[in-house]
This record gives sequence, C-alpha cells and structure tokens, in this order.
Amino acid sequence: MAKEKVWFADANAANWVESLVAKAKDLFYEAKLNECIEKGDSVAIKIHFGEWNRTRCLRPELVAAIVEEVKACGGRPFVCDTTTLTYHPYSSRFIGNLALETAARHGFTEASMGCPVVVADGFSGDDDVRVEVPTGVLLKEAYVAAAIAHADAMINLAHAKGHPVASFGGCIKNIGIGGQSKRGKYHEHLAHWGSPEDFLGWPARHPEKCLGLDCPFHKLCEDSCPRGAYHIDEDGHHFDAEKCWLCYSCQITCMFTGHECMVFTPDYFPYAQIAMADAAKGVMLTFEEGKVGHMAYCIDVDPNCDCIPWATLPVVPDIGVFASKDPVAIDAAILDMIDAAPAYPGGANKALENVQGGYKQGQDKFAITQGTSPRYQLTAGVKNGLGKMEYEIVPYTPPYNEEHIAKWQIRPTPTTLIQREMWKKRDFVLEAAPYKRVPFEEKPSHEEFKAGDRKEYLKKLPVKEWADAVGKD
Amino acid sequence: MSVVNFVGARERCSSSKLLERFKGTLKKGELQGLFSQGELVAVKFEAGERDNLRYVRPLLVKAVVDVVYSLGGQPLLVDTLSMGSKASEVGRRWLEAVVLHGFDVTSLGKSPMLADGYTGEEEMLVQVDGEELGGVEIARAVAESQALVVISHVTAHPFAGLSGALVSCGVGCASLRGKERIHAPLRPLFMQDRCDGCGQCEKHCPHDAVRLKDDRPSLDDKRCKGCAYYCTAACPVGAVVIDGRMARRFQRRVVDSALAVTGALQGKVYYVNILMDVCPYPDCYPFSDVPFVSDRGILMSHDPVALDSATLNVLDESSGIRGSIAEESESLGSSDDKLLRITGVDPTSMIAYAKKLGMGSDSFEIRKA
Repeated sequence: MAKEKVWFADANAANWVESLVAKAKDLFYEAKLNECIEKGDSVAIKIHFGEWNRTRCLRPELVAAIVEEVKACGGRPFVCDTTTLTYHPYSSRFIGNLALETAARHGFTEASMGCPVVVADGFSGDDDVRVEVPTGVLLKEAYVAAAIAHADAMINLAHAKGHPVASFGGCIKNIGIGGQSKRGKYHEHLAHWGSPEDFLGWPARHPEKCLGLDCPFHKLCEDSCPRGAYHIDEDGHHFDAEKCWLCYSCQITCMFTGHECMVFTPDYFPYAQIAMADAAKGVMLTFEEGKVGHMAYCIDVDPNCDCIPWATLPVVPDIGVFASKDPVAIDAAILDMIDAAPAYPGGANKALENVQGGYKQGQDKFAITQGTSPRYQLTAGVKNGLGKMEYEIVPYTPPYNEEHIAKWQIRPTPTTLIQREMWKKRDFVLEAAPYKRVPFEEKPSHEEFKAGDRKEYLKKLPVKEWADAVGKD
Repeated sequence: MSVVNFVGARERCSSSKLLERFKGTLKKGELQGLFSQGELVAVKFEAGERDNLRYVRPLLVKAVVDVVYSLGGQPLLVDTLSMGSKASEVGRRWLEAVVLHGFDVTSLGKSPMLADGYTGEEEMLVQVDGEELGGVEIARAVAESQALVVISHVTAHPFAGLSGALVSCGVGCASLRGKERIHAPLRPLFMQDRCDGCGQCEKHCPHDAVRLKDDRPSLDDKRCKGCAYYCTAACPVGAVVIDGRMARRFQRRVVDSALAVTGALQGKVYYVNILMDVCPYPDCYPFSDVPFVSDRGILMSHDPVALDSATLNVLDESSGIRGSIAEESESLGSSDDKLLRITGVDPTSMIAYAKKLGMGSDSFEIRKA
C-alpha cells in the first residue's frame, strides 16, 4: 500500500539554515504545499490563538513564516481561529472581540502576521456553512466557520500537543475542532446525544460527591454554566438536563479544582475523538482536492492544549516541524515520534515516577497521561476518508551553503554591507576612540574572579534535590 | 426640544484642538447615561471601500473608543459589509481596507470586527412597524450590544440625498442581507439607444443580474440586489442610470431599518456626524471625488432627526467649493439646497418620515463646544 509522505525537520539548530523558521519555510516547499495555492487565492491559515494566560502558544514568527510564503506564492492569506464554547468560567475566546484581544496578547495581530487576523465564525460564532458528511462515522453533518468555508485554499498550521478530552491535538484537531463554528463544536461535543444517564451527551454526574455549599469553589461552579443548567444549595447539586449543552465548563471547573461531581465517563473520550475526525472531514469537504496543506510544530509539547489557560512542563523535548498533504498521516507520524522521544524531566514524567518510574521508552505517552489512546482519531480519520495512517517520513536537512543561508534572512544580501557604507559616511564609533579603560598592561588577572568554592555554595542551596543533582563533582 | 452639540473644525491654536473639544463634549454628558459600567457598547464606524481616500480619520474613531473606555463601557469597534462582491471576496476586501486605512489594533488599541460576520450573514431579524419594512436583518454584534454609538461620515448620497445619522444607522448597522432588503426597490434603467453593446455592465455585475441579449443589456430582476452601483459605474457611455423614482422607497426603508436598530438597542443610541471631507459619494464607493463644502466640524446628538436636520442646515449655509460638484450643480451659494441639487434626491423627505415614525424632533437647539 502506498504510504503518505510526511516531511520532517528536527528542532535542533546550530547555524543560520537550521533555524526552525527557516526549516518550516523549506518544508512548505519540500512538501509542495505551495501547489495548493494559485495566484489570487484567498488562503485561510488556521492556527490556535491560545487561551488567555496560556504560555505555550506558537511563537508568532512561526506563523508569520508561513504567511510570508503564502504571499510569495501569490496567495492572499488571513490568519484565523474560531470562537470557542465557554468551557471554563473565564473563557476568553467565546465571542469575537475577546478572541481578538486574546490573539493580540499572544502576539497575533495584523502588524506581526503581515495579514489580517480573523475570527472565522464571526462575533457570536454563528457565522457558518452547514456541510453534509456522508462518510461520517458518528457525525453526518458539520458546521464549518464561514471564513474557512469560503476560502479558496487553507494551510492547516497546528501546534502538536496533548488535550484533556481528545488526548492529542495535531492537524486533525486544528481543523476538526478549530474549523467548526460554535454550533459545530456543540455538535461534535455530542451534546444531547442519547440520554443524560448515558453520560455521553451530558456530563458524567455524581451528585453524591458534590460538597454543596461547603465546597470552596461552589460559586465559581455555579457561575461557570452559561445556561444555568444546575444550582447548588443546602441539599447539594441540582441538575436540569434539558438546559445542558455539554460545553464542559462545569466538568473543567469541578475536576481542576480537585473535585469529583461533574466529570467525564472514560467512554466519552473515544467517541469525542471519532466525532472530531468526522468534523475534520467536513472542513476538508469545503475545499477542492489539493487545496489544503497541513503543517505542525511539535515543540512545547504540553500534555494539555493551547485552549487551557495555563501551561506546564512538556512531555517530551522539542521534536521539530512536520508537513504533509495528508492530515491523518502527519498526526500518525507525530504521535509515533512523541512516543519514541525521551521523556522531558519534571511535569507529567515526574508524576509517573511513583507509579512506574516515569515514561518508559516508546510508551504511548498521551494514553498514560490523559488516560485514553490518542489514536482513535486516526482510525476514525481512515474510516471516514480523511486520510491514511500509513506514512513514510521524509527527513529533511537543509543544504548548508551561502545561497541557502541567504534565503530566509531579513534581507537577501548581507546587511553588513549596508553597515559598511554607513561607516564610510560617518564613523561615530571611531570618533569616540580611544575608549576609557584601565591601561592594558595594568589589567588584573582574571584568576581572582573565578566563582567561589562551588561545594560550599551548593550546600547553601534551598532545595536539597538541586544540590544533590548538580553537586556531583 | 432636542440638543445637538457642535464642535467646529477651526483650530486656531493648540488649546483649541478639535480632538480635545470632541472628547470633552462626549465625556461631559453626552455619553453618560447611555451605558452602565462594563456594558458592551458597539461603536459603529465605516472603514470605507479599499481605494476610497476620504473615510473618517482613525484618530476620530479612536477618540470615541477612548471616551467609552474612560466612562467604564466595553467598546466593540464594528463595521459591516457593503454590497457587491462574491461571498468569499466581501469579507476579504474589508479586512484589507481596515489595515490600509489605519483601523487596526495597533492604531486604535482595539481590533475592529465585522458586526455581520465574514459573509454578512451573522444577523438578527428584528421586527419593525415601518411603512416599507415589517422586519430587517440587523448585524449580530450590534444587536447583541447594550448601547450603540454611530459614527457617520457625512456625504451626499445618490438615493437618500444625505448620508448621515439615519443612513449610517439604518444601512450601516444592517447585515448584508438587511442592506439588500433596504436597496431592493432600486433598479437600473438601460438607455438602449445610448448603449453600444460593450458588455461591461454584464461583466461587472457581482450578482449576475445583467445579461446581454442581441447586444443589448437586460435585467434579471430576481438576481438584482439593487446595489445601484456596479452596472452604472461600469458603463463607459452613461447608458445605465438608476431609476430615481425609487429613491423615496429607499429613503423609507433606510428609516424603517434605523427604527429597527434603535428598537433592538432599546433607544440606547448616540449619533456622531463628521462634517469633514464632505464628498458627493458615500464611503462604500471605491472613489470619492473632492469635497463640495469645506470642513465644518462635528455635530452630535441623541436625536437622529434633529442631527440630520442640523447637518443639512450647516451644509446649506456653507459656501460650495469651486471646482467641485457644487459648482457643476449650481450650488455654490450659501443658501442652496445643495444635496438636492447634487443628487436630485431631497433628503428632507427622509428626515420628515423619520420624524413621522417618532424617531426624533426637527425642533432643536445647537450648542457649541
């Protein structure tokens, strides 16, 4: 069976051509993503704006790098994301104005991107196009954000990381969730599916575990529901299932404040991944064949998503950048590389130390840390025709020569030559010479300035583990 | 009696800066009471069609945004789409225009948004008891706000006579579909004997409503949206004109829509008319010919009838500028019905209809800042 090609360049860099920005631009052409774009095409560059206070979003220049190449191909790019559900009490992207404020705070503005920054489903999240998805495993329709649906081409530019519900978020998730309008997100959350006791179309509820008015977070909990679907009083937790549309807000609030009343049933997560793959298929159906390219930066690989309003230590060290025409193959390749990679010390790896001594070599890291295999979305993506799992990595090393060094710099020729001409006009550095220093012959020996006795210094460190870890010599 | 505030355009020294007088007037009482702490206040501005050079200066829009912030409101800076392009193009063109014209987060401290979504379909259908319209689609972000400030670039308008508070509110705050509803009565007239069969009208109509049959244009009435622009602008020999008999119906629809907007906002609407760069065409045109009166300043009020009446008075009192359309339409004098002479449409009938619907009073007092 023919394998889908996935281009890959690693995150290490030791010279000009190896900057991740330069490699990402190279990969855009190596993977022939430029062929998705015809002159004059309106091109959606779908990214994750990141939630307010998230600290591991993609650096703006990693996005601007691709905007620049889309323009170079004659495309007219716009950077976009969509409004979210209010999945936590301080949702910062659920309406267009807040989403743009959040984007600006993370550095995504017209000025830094060099193109418009758009909330693709409008102010309220209502601006969408309904699409039939005949091959959907669970979802038979999708609601695609209008700006994405109406674009001529798209670069699906993902940040690969974990997710508390989808287990993993890469290219499938970036369009599967991120390309849906608000309606589409409720639909793929499976809201109002089955009956409340199935715990699939509704949160899993254990009202006997609610601490009621004694819970220090009970007001936040009540405030967190955008539909007033429950209230808390002396008798505990009262839930009106009719009103609930499964935005996750109560579950996130309850779970992340350390409580157990509103949670997810483990069965929910595989279905959520499958629905997400169907929604991704829906987004792809709004583009003609060959008009979408997929890229992902697998760096800052946080166990949780950019939708979470904080960030923690990654699960693996930075891996690199990927590009492909197949959204399933690229995610399959990324997941395998994450599993093969060494664990990043601290964080999720540390949490596993008492259980099994940290991540084991080659282990499915997200399956352990999130509790569900991340690969349901891949198999569902194969089933609904989104793509193929069988991939072939095409490793890329940039050529190291003068021409390639010049290729992605701020100007096409060495800027030192500009400086040379300026010094010829007026050399204000030379004008201030000689500079006032201690005479050369009188300079002190640097031996006196060597750091003090290190062992003594280490004994005074406040944390014993640091002292133990570094004081081995 | 309604109050209309006036901030004159003349600045004779640094202590009479227009921006300071403008902000001071807004802050000192005009905007207070319009909204409470933390409420969403839509500030409707017009970015202007991409190649238009005479849209409102961003500094003036920023002044309104800053005052809303300082009074504790949450400004939502919005514009809406204009008619006349493919769905995938309309939103795109607006995005290019806002940046090119200086309306972006870097200059204004706030990102402007489309109040009616990327294709003009994010809307709310609002009922209204008008003579032309029983309901109209209002741009969603406007309908979801708790208060509204309408910033209007005063110009002539080919079918309303005046583009001021009523047009900026009624048309400007309607979604794209709402605008089509308002423009629906307008239709092109093809002067068949002037036509030379070049086909430019067919080529430029964004709605595929003009077809050439035997070398002469005919209109597909169902497809025509009444944008009243592309076919007539494209004709090199002036053989396409817009039927002026429909202007009255257009004016009434504008007012019906403005009434719907004020109803949806429960009356919490304030209007700012910018009488600077007063040109013959509204900002939705991709060109804008030179101004026909000199800059007069800014007029503002809670009452759109009073405001537009006051605006007409100021324009008519002004001398027309030589070398502009005022000269060609013989309205250089300072008591001419300038807009009627320039456009052929009487703006007072629109204002009278708005008064009839109870939107305001034409008896007002002008207060100078």
